[in-house]
Amino acid sequence: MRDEDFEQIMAYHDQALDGEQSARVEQLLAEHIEAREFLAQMREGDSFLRNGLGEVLEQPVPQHLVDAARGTPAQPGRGKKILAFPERSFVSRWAYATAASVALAVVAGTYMLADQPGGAQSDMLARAVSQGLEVTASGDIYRASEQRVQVMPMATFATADAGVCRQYAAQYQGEQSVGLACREQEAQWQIRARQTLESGSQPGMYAPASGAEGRIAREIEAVGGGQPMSVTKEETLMSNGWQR
Amino acid sequence: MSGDISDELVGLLPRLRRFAMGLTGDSSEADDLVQQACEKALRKQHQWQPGTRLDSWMYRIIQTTRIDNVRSRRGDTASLETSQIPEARDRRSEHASENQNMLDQVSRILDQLPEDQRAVMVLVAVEEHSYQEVSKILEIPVGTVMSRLYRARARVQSELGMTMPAKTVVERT
Repeated sequence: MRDEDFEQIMAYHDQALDGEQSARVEQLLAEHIEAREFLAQMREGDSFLRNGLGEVLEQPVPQHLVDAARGTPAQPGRGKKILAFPERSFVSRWAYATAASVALAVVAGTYMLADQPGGAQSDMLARAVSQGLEVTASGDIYRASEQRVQVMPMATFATADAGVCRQYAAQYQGEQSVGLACREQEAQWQIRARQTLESGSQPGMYAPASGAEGRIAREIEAVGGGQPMSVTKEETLMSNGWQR
Repeated sequence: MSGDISDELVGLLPRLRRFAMGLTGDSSEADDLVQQACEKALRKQHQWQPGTRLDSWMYRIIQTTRIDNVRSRRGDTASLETSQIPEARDRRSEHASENQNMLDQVSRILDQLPEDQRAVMVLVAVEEHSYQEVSKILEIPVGTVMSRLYRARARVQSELGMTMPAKTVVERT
């Protein structure tokens, strides 16, 4: 095969050839295993890039970019890492699909290890939530070392008793949940309210972080949390070990 | 008034972020780049011709803004045609050890490409633009698009442990 043949196969792969040129490439592909391998590798390489960068499409778009695109000035408290609630793109990331009921498993007070999922699993989830909230900025995703638990802090609130609480979303073994956890002593985050979501739940059916409705929002209100902190304030607080 | 294109611009944001991520390999830098590009686009929206593709125009703005940013960091106006971006590579290397997910792997691999090849690679292989569209976006001949793309793919496949034929590629301008 000639050098030009490979470039033609590439153009064929990119659908840049006319009918006659395509036919010639297809003949090359039929006759030469080298041509077929070349095309397969190109497809594999492109697919790898597309899939990897495709993750970006599933991330929530920071509010400050929406503001920039609309030509509106950024509003206080609408920092780039502070999310009202996962938007559609985030929902797809966590495989929330079509409409279904929300299984409200809100646990007021302390987190019950007997709640679904089962004891050991809940323990692992609670640990991952605690670890993730300690070190992860809102909007970023914390992955536990074994990659089985993912936790995304969504917003941080100062409480009336000088404490700090954070709303989060978590995924573990295909189960999605949202919750509110407050920092206790020695870097422990205690889950105060948790809402398990059945697959197929609609994001609009459960509590927004800063909205007036929803059980988690009510729990935020109960601890005296107001509006989410700004990015700067959250960063400062995190760098200070969450000490206000 | 920004209302003319702003709605469409908002709809494009996920793809613009993906393209910017492909160029920079760093999510914060990518978002900064998209924000700069949006602000430029709104300032210059009178230059955009309705009926033409807004996404292509935005890719062009992102690419030129990226080049400006890199040159500004480097403190010179050297051509980026064949140069690497050490600053970006260093920063990505730091992140590489923290997270091994696919996006990071892709960022590391794209980071091995010269800036000019990276833009072509992302526009064709990821954003699925035609050679002609990429030619217009980057203002380079179609032949140059193809030669850069071939080289970029060869490098990507090498990084993935595959081998493309050692074709002699001459940069066509």
